[in-house]
Amino acid sequence: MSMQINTETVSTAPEISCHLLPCEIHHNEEANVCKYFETTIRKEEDLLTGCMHGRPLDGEKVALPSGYTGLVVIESRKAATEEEDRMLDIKSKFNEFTYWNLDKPTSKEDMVSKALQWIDIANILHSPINQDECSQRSVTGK
Amino acid sequence: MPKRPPSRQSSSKAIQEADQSQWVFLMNDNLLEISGDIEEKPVICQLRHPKTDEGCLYLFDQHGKNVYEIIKYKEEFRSWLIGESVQKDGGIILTTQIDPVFLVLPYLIQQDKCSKYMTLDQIVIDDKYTECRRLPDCNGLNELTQVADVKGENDFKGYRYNKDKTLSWLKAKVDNLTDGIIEKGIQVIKSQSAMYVKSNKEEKLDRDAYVKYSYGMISDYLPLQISQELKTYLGIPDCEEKVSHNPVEEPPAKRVKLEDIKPLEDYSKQNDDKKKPTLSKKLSMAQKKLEKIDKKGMKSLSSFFSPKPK
Repeated sequence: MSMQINTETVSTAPEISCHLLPCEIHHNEEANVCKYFETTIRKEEDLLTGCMHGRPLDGEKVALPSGYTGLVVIESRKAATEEEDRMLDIKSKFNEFTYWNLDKPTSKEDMVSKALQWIDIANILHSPINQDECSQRSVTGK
Repeated sequence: MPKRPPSRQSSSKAIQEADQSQWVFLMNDNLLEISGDIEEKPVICQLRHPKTDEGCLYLFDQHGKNVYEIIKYKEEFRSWLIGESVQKDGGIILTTQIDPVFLVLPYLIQQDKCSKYMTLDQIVIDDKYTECRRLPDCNGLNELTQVADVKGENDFKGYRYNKDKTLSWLKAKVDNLTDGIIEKGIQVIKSQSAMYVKSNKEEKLDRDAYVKYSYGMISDYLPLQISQELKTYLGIPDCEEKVSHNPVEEPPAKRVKLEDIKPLEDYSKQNDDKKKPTLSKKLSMAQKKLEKIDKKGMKSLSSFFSPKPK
């Protein structure tokens, strides 16, 4: 069994605003995000604060590293059998998102920072080792 | 038997796995380039993980020339707000390129037992994870010369595992990564808080700590045996040494305690004392009178039955 990603639609997929919340919401449907969450966001210098069910949130806007695009991917049709290939479609995309901590300032210790750091580490770890340093540099893109 | 109530996380997780049909990816842009052929699309499939030996998801690009690792970052209580909707799963799925040599290495080592030169198609065969047939087409595999002896021409190359080459290749990987994380100022010790790292002292962490950290990361892509060999090769001391120190130190401490500390009240002795008065109480009036009798010159009853000394 394999899963194909239909990347044809990436250029036409709409840009969307995304928030990573510090709570689990048992729901996978529509919600009035604009009306009830985005209106609570305040910005003081670089610090973002928000509010969810009366709880104070601290946030940070994160730009994705160059060479990466955020995608919301959906499986519109479940495969009927195990053998059948599954197909993932791109629903929307983003180049930045906001992540929120529950009443705790954002820091380098946060999962999101660690995830983004992994991209840098993986680039170094998995680039080929060559005797010729010049070609090595060109492969890593540094 | 009473059923243990399932914890909230695990039950919700099960539902999520069955019902989930939407995910958030951070996708490497190379995977999003549209190729001329519409049929060519990035494909996610299961391959054998070089370290754990279990099935893991990997992503081949649209040309089948590069492999990407799929890593999910997920904290316990996280959900996404995406546009005007909620996605319960607050995970981020990262796609980062993986050196295909790591994925081929376990197969190469396995075939080494017959010490023959074999072609990649013969080496990378897996009954359980059949999608590994995509691996031999990967670009990065020209690097196999760094872990194997190669024989033959362009289209018909035979490979044979070479341990010495592999170890020096891995050492180069570790060195490269060490330079990289020092350059980027990546935090090495997990328990440190971000505030602590800012002090100058910590920036001068010696290179050994970084090498150990890099080794740890690279050994996540290696079968256990080769990762042990690499450890010795790099001269990294075994952590077990430290662990074994503690049990050695502990017994003397226990002995000291045994010598110094005695029970404040020895109940075993008290019991002995108590037994005597209870016994005497049981004596009848006649027995008490007998006790008062002058016993001088009297023999005990048993002495009459014992053999007489000659």
